[in-house]
Amino acid sequence: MNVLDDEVFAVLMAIIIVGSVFAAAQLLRPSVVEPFTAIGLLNEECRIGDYPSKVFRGENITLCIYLYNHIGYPLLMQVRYKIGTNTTLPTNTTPSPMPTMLIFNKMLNHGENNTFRIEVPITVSEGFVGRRAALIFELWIYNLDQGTWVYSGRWNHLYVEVLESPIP
Amino acid sequence: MCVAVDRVSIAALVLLTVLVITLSLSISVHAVDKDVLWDRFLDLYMRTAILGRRGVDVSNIVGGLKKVLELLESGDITSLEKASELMDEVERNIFFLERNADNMLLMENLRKYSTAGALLLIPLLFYYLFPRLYLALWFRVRRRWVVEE
Repeated sequence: MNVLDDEVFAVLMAIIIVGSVFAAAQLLRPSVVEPFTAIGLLNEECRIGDYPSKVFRGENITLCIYLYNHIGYPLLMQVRYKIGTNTTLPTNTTPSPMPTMLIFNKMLNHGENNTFRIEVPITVSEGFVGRRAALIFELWIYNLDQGTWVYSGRWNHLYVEVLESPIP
Repeated sequence: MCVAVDRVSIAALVLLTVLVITLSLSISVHAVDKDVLWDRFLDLYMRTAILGRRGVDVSNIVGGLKKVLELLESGDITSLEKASELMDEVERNIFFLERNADNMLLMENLRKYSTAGALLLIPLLFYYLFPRLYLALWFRVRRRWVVEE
């Protein structure tokens, strides 16, 4: 006597097979398929937008940096602050040729992010007054195989107009 | 009177020299210490990252290294001493993980592949057990039924 309809049983079997294969595949797949790192520039309230557009020469401005690690293992990250122009911006492969003014070190485990407030000085020559300067934030990571800091190819920059500092 | 003044000035000069030497020595020792601590931190980081890359859970060690990094960045002597102590503790944990990494990874792989195997066995179990369970339930629900001609 067949109390269970064959077609119903076949449909149930199909659902169970697909479900179990999918669950097993999820479990066995590598945890990191596409490794990447990320850097973001936020305003002084650590939000996107409302960035300072005009700054005085010699003043300090407050910004926030966001970092994310999706490499698959803990990363030692370094944010290097430089001031340049539109001709001295970094590229995907080379950092900016301008000198590093400040360094911020952070360590992140895989899958972690960190947002932190920074204060950066607008230390530029008089020639920059009235012109547009680029505040450059490059992401460097400590390379395990080479044992040195290497440029990750990721950066953020913020254009600001430099004004002469007011006479106190 | 003149001799007394000379002695005082010589004593002051000697004292000043001793002070300057002591100060310069302490500054140079401090500078060297910070560099040594930073190198040690990098070494600990690399060992941790290698363990992490192999698949060992290093979240506790990363937490410790983050604290060490903050202390090293603050740079005062008390913080550097604390960083050094914390690095001793972190190094002990890393050493323990390095020694047991193979066993831990073996256990983790066994757990993972056993779970995957169990998941893949579900359709087979369903195929054999479900019709029998369904039949048993079907009869149980109808056990008080009376068959009439």
